[in-house]
Amino acid sequence: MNRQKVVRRNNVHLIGDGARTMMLANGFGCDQTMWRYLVPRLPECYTLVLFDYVGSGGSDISAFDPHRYAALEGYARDVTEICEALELQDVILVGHSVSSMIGLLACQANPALFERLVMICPSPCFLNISPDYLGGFEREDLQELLDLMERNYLGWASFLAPLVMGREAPQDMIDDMAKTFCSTDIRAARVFARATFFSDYRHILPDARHPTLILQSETDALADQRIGHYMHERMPGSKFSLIKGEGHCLHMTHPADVADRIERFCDDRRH
Amino acid sequence: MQEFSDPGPEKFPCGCMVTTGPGTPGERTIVFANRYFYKRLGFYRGSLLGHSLASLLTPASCIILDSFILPMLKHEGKVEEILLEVLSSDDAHIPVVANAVMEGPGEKYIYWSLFRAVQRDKLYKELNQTRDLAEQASRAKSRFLSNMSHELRTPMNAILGFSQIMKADPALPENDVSSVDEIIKAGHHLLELINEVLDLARVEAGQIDVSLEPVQVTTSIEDVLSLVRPLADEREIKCRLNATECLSVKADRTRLKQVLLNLVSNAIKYNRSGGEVIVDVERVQDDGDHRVRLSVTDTGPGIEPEDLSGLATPFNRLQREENSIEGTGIGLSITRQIVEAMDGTLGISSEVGVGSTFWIELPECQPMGPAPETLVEKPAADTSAREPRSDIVLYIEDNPVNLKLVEQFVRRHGKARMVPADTPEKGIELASTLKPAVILLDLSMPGMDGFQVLEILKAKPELAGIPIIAMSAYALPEDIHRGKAAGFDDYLTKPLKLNHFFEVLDQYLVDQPRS
Repeated sequence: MNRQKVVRRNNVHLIGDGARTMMLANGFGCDQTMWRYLVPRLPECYTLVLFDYVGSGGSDISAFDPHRYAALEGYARDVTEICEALELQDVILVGHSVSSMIGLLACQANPALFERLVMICPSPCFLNISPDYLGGFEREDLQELLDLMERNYLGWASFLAPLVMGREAPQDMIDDMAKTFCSTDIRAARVFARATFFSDYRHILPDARHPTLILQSETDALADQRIGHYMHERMPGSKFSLIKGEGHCLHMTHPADVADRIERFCDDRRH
Repeated sequence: MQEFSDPGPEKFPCGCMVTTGPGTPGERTIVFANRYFYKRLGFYRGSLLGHSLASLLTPASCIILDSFILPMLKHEGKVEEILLEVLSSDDAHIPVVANAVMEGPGEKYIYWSLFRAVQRDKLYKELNQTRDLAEQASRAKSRFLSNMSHELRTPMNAILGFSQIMKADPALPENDVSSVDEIIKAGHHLLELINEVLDLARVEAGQIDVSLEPVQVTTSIEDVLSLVRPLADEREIKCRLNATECLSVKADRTRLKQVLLNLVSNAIKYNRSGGEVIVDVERVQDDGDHRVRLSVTDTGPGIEPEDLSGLATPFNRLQREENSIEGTGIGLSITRQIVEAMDGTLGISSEVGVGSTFWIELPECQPMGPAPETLVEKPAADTSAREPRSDIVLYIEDNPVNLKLVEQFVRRHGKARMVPADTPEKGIELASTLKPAVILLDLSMPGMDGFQVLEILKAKPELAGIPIIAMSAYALPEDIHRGKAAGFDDYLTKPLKLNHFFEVLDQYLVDQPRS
């Protein structure tokens, strides 16, 4: 796909013009505005690439294909297509929640495009799977979550794209994104929710080849500490880093700490 | 007047609760809840103090608390109207609408108000279920239509394809020429009926898509008149356009043509030999809005007044079953619905023994400016720098009849040769070894479908630039859209039309020396 098409389809925004490229991929239930607290804290040596998956934020909803996006591989293709169309190289891919696994899929499908991977509050599988994997939830719990989100439909706009811009977001980001609020398509959100909560990608962990940082929240109802450890044990070349914080959105609640740890991890190669 | 004293939270008929905030270490615990709260959830007063908020929520609500409410509170200071489910003392799930506020990011406490939403939630759930069922039914219908179209078109591909090959064969004995013509004619007619029935079903299911744009009516009419010329000539009917000025309407270009084609071909079919068909274009006023009326007038027998009202009902052919005029009686019904979908109207007037006039009215609009120069991407552009091209057309298809048919098509075309691959695996292997000029790919094959094969082929750098064309009996517009979106260079629907197939081959086999 050509650059223009991809930029329009995924509402791609570039911030800064640093020498290194860092791509930020949001998790389920939001769009790129979710990075607004982290972005100002990342150093200027990066060109930041922000985008929305098809069906959320300011993406081109007409490009939504329920078949393609029924599995995380479809979203991983969005990621690699953006990298290819923009001719990005040595990309540092930062994924929140489900985008951690989407990022890993993208890294495995096109290893040459990516330099390293940062996973914020990841989980390879949210379901408890007998005999011994505890993803944290029974299928009924997650079904109920989808159901509850659906019943929150009237509030979904605010639910999916956390309300107004925070005070700290840079002005140009506010201008660019002001019009993208509340435009998440419910049909696309449903498909994405299913792909997120009912999938199991544990089997791809041992094939990880890129240096990976796992940022684990101390208390996270969606991705418990033991899941972070589970991933770290199975992913060659991974680093585990615990952030003393609460919640599943560390990049929103602890942006300074997250930025600091990403920075240190990315500086590694120079030492 | 007695002075009003602050009632505190105890008297309010909603749950009031205070929990610890981010300023307090550890998880959120309940430090206060009012009487209403305890009572409606069935707990003893005071029994929840010190309990974690999460222990009072269902797992799904915990996720929402954790991944949405708490981050939002921290950054925005409040959340409003979030539906949660709390657990009562007997573990029942009680839907509540929650609001919460917190004054600053480091605040010690969060203040909550919770409203029972049992009735509202029940209604909302029922609405959602009804909507889901309707959507499910609509999807099932679309799937059925798509499958039906596929099933009917597959045998038609063999019937029409082979008869076109036979007809193109100069060695075909004179006696058989007219027999083959009849097969082709009947085949096309059957195909038209299949399309009409499917179209009606789609229209009735509300699935008609129109994309409105300024369309110049005289051009559309002229196109239609040239299409029906053979039919008119056969019956020695004169067709003419009567337009004094060049008007544009807001319409869907293709659909407008479909409508005009239906009206004009009806006017020819239900006419007398040597009769006349006149298409008039005029501007009419409707409540101050300009509309354009397109009328198609024939010199046929006319329609009895009592028959006029039932005319646009499906399958009503006004006893035309008795005579030899072909048709399903569907066309006019579809026509009316399409016209209405374009914000237009359809009307009929008729006089027995003189003829009938069928007219449509559509909103007038300003004509479109000169068309921007479109760049047609031709694969020829990037072929010059490459190796001399192969003359191979690789066809990956599991159905032996289709393989045989296309082989004959390609042979008849004469500029390439076809290599068959009857399984996707074989096709992928042959593509890499042969590097063909064009790959034709069937979409429905057992084991691996055409989309999966396409993805594998596209991932092979050695095949970059080789056009891959989908061949499918899935012929609905959304099927074609999906195919093109997936990255197919072209999408051919079955039954294949010999001439169109040649055109597509010509387009992709450019600069190919004749073998």
